Parts: sequence; C-alpha cells; structure tokens
Amino acid sequence: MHMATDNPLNDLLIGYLDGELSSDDQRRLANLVDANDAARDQFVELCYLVGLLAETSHDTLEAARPASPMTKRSRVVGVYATLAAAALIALTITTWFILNPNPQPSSPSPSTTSSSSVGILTDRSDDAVFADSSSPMTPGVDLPAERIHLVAGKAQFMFKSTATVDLIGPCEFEMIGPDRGYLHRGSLHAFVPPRAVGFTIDTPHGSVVDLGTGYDLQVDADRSTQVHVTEGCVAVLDRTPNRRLLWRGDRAVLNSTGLAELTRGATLVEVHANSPFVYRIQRRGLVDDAIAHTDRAYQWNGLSAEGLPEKLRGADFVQTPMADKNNHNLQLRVTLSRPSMVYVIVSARVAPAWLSTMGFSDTGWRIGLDNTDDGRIAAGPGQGVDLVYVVWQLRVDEPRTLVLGPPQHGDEGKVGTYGVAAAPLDEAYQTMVGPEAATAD
Amino acid sequence: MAVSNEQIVQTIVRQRIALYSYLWSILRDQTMVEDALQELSLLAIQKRDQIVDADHLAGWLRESGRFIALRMIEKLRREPSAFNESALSRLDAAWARLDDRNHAHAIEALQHCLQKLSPSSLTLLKARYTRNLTGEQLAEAVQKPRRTVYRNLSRILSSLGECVRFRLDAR
Repeated sequence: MHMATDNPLNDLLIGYLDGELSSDDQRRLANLVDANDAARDQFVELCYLVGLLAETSHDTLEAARPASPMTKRSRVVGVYATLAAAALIALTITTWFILNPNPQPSSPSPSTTSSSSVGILTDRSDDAVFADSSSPMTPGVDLPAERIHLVAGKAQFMFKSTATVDLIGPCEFEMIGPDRGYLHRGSLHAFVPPRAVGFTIDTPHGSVVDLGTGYDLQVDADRSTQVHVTEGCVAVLDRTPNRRLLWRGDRAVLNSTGLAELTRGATLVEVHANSPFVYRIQRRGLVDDAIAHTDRAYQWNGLSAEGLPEKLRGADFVQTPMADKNNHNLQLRVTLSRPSMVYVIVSARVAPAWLSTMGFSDTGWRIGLDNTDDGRIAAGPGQGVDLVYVVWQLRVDEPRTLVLGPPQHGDEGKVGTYGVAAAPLDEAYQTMVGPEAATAD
Repeated sequence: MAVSNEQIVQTIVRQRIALYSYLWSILRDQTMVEDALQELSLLAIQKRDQIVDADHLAGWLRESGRFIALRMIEKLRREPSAFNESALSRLDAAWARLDDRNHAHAIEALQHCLQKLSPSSLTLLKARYTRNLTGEQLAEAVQKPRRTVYRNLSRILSSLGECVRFRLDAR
C-alpha cells in the first residue's frame, strides 16, 4: 500500500482524538476544520476510520496477522467485539422492557411484545444461519421461550431482565424465561447489568448465576463447561453442589463430577495515572527484591531476614515511576477485580493526608527500599535497606476503582513516591454449599 | 406517524459504528462514548413519538448524541472539546454523508487494507486500538519517541483511509 506523505491536518486530528494537543493546536485545528468542506470531510472520515478500528479491532486487527494458539483463543472471544457496542446499546433498549412491558398495544406489528415473549433478537451477523426456529430471526423480533439452534455466524439476544447473550455458532441455546437460559452446547458471551442480577445460565455440568457482570461460557456437552469472567462476579454451582464466587479474570472448568479446574485472575487489573510516566502492574510480584519503580532499579525488601510481612508476600503491586515524586496533581486510579485489602507503601518520614481521608490505617508494618544511597543494590531480605517505608491498608469489599492522590513532600522535600499493592480477601474465595445447585439440571 | 421501536433498534444497530465515531469525535474516551450511546438509545425509545420517520431518526440521533456528549463533558468538568456546539453543527452535513454507508462493506474494506500494512504498522495500530494505549504508554509499547509515534500513526491512518475509501468507491 502506498504510504501517505505528511498531512498536517491529519497530524492535528490524531493528536486531538488522543488528547495530545495543546490549547493552541486545538484552536488551530478548529480553524482548519471550519475553513472548508474538504477539511470537514477529512475530519469525519478520519473519525470514522478510528471508530471503525476501535470498534472492530479484535476482528480486523487480530485477523491481520498469523494466528497463534493464544490469538486464536482471544479471537473466539474477540469475534464479538463487533457486537460489544451493540450489546451496550441493546442493554439500554431493554430498559424499555422494564419501563414499558407492552409498548405498542395497538400496533398490528407481529413483533409486538406478547405475554409469552422472554426477549428479543437484537443483532445477527450477515452469515448467521438458524435451524429449526419457529420465529423469524430478524433484529427486533420478540422471542418466546424456545430452543435456538445457531448453525453458523453470530447473534445477540436480549432477555426481558435486560441480560444480553451473544451466541457464537455452532451453538444450541434455550431461552427458558426472562432471566434464565440453558446452553446445551457451543459458546456465548453474557453481559448482565446490575438490574438483571440473578440471571442464570444452566449447562449440563452446572449453573452460572450472574451477580452483575460479563462472562464467556463454553459447553462441550459430553465433557465440560468452561467459564471465564470478563467483568464483575458470578456464582458457579457445580453438581456436588458447591457454590463458588468467580471474579473478573477467573476461569473455571466444570465436569460431571464437579469443579475440575479453577484459575484465579489478577487482583489489580488496571492502573491509570494523569502522568506521562509509566505505571505497571506486577501480578503476584511483591516479594523480597521486587523492583519497586518503572524508572529505577530500587527494590522492596523486608527490614530483616524474615522478609516482607506475610500478607504482602505474593500480592499484586504497581511499579510506580520515581519521576512522579514531585507531581502535586497526581491522580492514580487502580482497579480491583475482587474484594481486596489494598496497601499503600509510603515513606516513614511523612504520609499523604489523603490516606486518612480515604480510610486507610497504619498496619504497623515497616518495610524497606533498597536504593543506591549506599552505592549498591543488595540481594535478599533485610539486605541493603536504605529507606524505611510504612504500610497503610484499606479493606475494599467489592470490585471498584480507587483514586489515590499525589506523593507527600517532607520538610526537606525529597521523600520519593509511593507503592501500591493489593491482595484478595479470604471472603472472596469462600465455597458455599447451596441448595440452588439442585436446579442445575 | 412515529417510528417504531423495531426501526429504532435496527437503525442504532446498523449505524452503531457511525454513532460510535461521532461520539468519539466529541468525547474522545471509550467509557464515556459507551455511556453516551446507552443514554442516547434510551432517549430514542422514550422520545419515539417525536421522531417522524427513519430519515429524521438519523439526524435526531446525531443531534441528541451531540447534546448528551456536551452535557457529559460539562457535568464531569472535563476540558471542553476544541469544537463548540456551533462548530459541531457545521460538521453535521459531513456526518450525514455517512448515513448511507454500508458499514459491513467498510469492515471488509478495512480487513483487506490492513493486510497490506507492514508488520510494524500493524503493531502500532494494535497497541493503539486493541490494547487501547495512548501517549507515553503507546510510545513505550513500540519503543519509539512519542512524537515519532504520533507522526507514524497519522501517516498509517491516512494511507489506510485512502485504501478503504478507494475500495468502497470501487464497489
């Protein structure tokens, strides 16, 4: 493909869309776009291309390279990225089901909601093929409780409860009621907003009760059911009957005897800062000699040979840039996938006031930072500690994003920046025996 | 006669990429765009009686989307867009030209054109639009200075845009 030559308007547009422009450049761009039709068309076409890439990236960009086993797997999930925005739109539209269960009583339209309707078909791919359907499979059509056999392609259904499922053919799915379905075989992605909490999908090996989330489900009827939580939390009921909570990033495999596999995901899942410097999550990485910062070789260490406090060991943590130590406006957003204890590690010289305001308390634990003040970085717990840090903690009972403040400055100015870590609460992983499992048939 | 709910569902689903792009051009934040799309969809259902027909619906969605997006910026006290309401209104004719575009064809064209890019160009696009990296994180991901990254991104998107338009025009 011919590579375009420099295009100043495009440069400004790209910068604008990514928030990279100065105020002066923004004014320059606005004037250029306002100047003529051609510039306005260029603006719209570029925005459209960016929207197209962003909306379909898993389908288009992932497909534009040779597939590895991992990318193949992500593509199965990612195929539905194209429908993701539609899912969100569809969710809102379902609000209408709640607000107005009989929207067009006088309409002669055959798709008017009837008392037997449990949801609607909201989208289908061009290559979607249905078999044995008693309903016309066109977007907007109301659907009764029935079995859907999607031979090929993709289709999205929205239940009256506002839960949405994206089916990936070949797939056999049964709409049982406004808040319940049964996946006989194949794959789906479910998205359940808070108002539809309790939405349940049964499979031959158990049930998934949604607690406000998104998840992928794959059923091989003769062998197993795989669940991968992509957002929020689900309760998984196996045949034993045990009931476990799964959180964002967790994967479980159920078979006819119960839980066959369980892989827990990360506790800290996202970090964003209003800073040009790099913040990086190290999953289960907080151990003695862990690199503390993204721009220094400094290490976290226990103060003695016993090493770091037990509860910190193996926690997820954020490597922070020391370059932000003087950033008075820093806002650090950290997202937790599950109920957690969050730790902030600050200089023993002075603690930021926002810690107390947010409800953090001093654990009484002290740990060390091995920097280069003594001219070397040492190995092992208790070795080479140059500065003492205090560990503060905050219990967070549900997955959410915390916004942390700037580093505090001591009287002498230099106290460095802070560290952040998180470990799951024991309650997040409790197994319960629930009578609900009896319904998983 | 007002549009039906089925027409609203079908139009929003069919036009989702154009609406997504339109809202992105104002909000420039994926989460905010998704929230705005949700609010817009609900509003369309609630105001169905005020929308005369399918042609009216397309313009109505843009106008209401613009209103929702600007209100979100104001409510969140975010830095205002470079384009104020009147400047955005003047862009409306250009956006309206997308109403008849077949977005499935556009996706096909994009898939074809992406195959022609170099591996490094694909890496950059994936870092930006699959991994959703921007600014310094994007520069770090592709190990190039930030300014160079954005210059490259601009040239890649220019070429890609030309290729997509060429294929759409040729259909």
